[in-house]
Amino acid sequence: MKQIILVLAMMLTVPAAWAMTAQDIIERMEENQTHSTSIMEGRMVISDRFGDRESTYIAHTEGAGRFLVEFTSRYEEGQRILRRDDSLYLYYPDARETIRLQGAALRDSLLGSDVSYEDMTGGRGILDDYDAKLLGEESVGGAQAYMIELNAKTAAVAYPKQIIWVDAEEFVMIKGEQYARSGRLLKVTEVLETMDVDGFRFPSRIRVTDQTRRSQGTLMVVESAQIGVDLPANIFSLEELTW
Amino acid sequence: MKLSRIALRNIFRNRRRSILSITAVTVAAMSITLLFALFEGIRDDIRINAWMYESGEVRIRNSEFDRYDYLNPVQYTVEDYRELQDALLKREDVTMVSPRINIASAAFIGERQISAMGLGVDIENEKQFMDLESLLTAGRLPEPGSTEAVLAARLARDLGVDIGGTATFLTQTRRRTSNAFTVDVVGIVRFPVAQLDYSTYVLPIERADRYLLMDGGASEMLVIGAAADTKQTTELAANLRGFLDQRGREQLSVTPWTEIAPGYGYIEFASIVYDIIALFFFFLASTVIINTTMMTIHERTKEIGTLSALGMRGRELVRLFFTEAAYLGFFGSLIGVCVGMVIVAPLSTFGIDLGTSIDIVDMGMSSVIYPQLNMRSTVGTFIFSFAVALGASYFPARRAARLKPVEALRG
Repeated sequence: MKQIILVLAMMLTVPAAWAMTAQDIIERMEENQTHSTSIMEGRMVISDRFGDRESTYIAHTEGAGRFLVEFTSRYEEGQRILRRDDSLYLYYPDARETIRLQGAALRDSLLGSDVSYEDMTGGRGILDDYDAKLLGEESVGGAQAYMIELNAKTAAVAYPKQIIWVDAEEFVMIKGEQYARSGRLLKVTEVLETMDVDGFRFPSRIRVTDQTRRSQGTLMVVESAQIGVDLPANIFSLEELTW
Repeated sequence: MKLSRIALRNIFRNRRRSILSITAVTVAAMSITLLFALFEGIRDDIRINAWMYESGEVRIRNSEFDRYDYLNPVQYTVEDYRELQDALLKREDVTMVSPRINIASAAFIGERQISAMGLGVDIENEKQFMDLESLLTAGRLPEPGSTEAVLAARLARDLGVDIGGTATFLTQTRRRTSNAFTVDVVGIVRFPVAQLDYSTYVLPIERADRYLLMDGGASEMLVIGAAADTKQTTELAANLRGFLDQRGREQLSVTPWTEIAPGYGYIEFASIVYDIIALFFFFLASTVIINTTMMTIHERTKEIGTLSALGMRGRELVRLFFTEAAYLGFFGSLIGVCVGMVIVAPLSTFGIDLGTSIDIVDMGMSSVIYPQLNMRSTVGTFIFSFAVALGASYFPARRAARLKPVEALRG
């Protein structure tokens, strides 16, 4: 009788946790964080031994594959980064041609920050590139979170292995660790705040710290976001990039 | 008969052996003349390359840039370089000043990322400072203030651009932001140093200032002293230190080229190694002279006995054999140095092309080296080889002097 009560109690208290697979959790998380279209205004604060510097930007996204960032801060005004599927293009007002980054160059540091071009602009869905395995649950900063290990399916990704912690209630990533193939910890991503817009909850204040250099981290802050907005036609085209 | 005449006559008594001794000294002296001339050519080449392209005789920089050099801290500049340039040129101990903006940059060709180093320079000034026009192999120099640039030959090849084309470079600005810019290629230059030829492009400093948001600051100022003499470099650096302090520019560092040029330390070390090699050469040559003198003494034992019996003293016998060796050493050294000079003369004009073998050596050395004769490689080598030949004959000569007349006469 005691055993039946125990089983019933378990079924009533944690039904969702044990019902969900790692794939389910990631899909829920990506539903939150990937939008049909969006416009976000934000800033990036890069801290290093020479002090802090801030860049502000407006980002336009369409799904997971298209991303356009335009910098608005004084010394970077007019500079743009366009991601279309697997290619990334940089536009600078002083340059008469766009710079196309491919392959390993996508992993270069963006503006000398702890964030790479690939980190900043995202790309295909996590499950396209990684096999996910649920390691369990643990508390992160007072929030219950799923701990998921991601192992790359191909060598074409920046991080062969990642461990992410996904808020068990909000389905938003709250922490991430990125590893090299050797097992060396490359980066730590901490989500300091999240934002809810039209029912979508996503990280709005993130600190990324590159563990391979003496870095004090880069803070990424989303100041405002509009989701499901109409974007100008051809905004993700190369022609529009250089106007 | 005078000892010197007897000694000269004795040399011709066994010509083959004398020729062998002279040849040994000749080969050693000639080799050392060539070696020292080549070494002097390399030393001068490294100095000229460092002065023209890398550091000047003395380099002025923001001391914080020196401290974080490996991080390319573009924000640490020489403020208001034009004012400082004018002030430096008014000094009697300064003859040339070259303000430069260094642009650590990258170009992207397909999936390849090509590192390049831009030099923002005063184009008119550099016609004199680094003789920029002489480096041109095609096209022309950029117009001051324009978006034009000249590319080093191998960089142009790697980028796949030629005159009339464009190249776009991504770099970091003084505000620690990134920027990219496009230059119009109007000329191709060939730097004598391979490392420069793989990566360098030159553009007007006014444009570099704009692209890197330098606000009138320069990365560094290269200074050549009026004496243009390496022996006075330290003094020039000390004088400029005081000068900058007086002008309230304590944050700037003054560094002599000897502390910057990668090849200088090597060449100082090599100088010692080459002296040891020279000594080794002469040691080998001296074994031939020792052998010759020993053989002579052995063959002429009876003659030594006769001379002793006739009253020639041991000291005079030493002088006799010593004088013979002196003749061999003198002629050998003289011929060796002269042959060396004859070989070096055309090489100092046409140079020795080391080809691409030097490309992997990062010591600021040109691929074509022009050997140079100097006091060390000529007079120094002659005196040294002569002295070694004399020294080598001393001990065998003393042995001859110690022979007892009766024993010597018995043979």
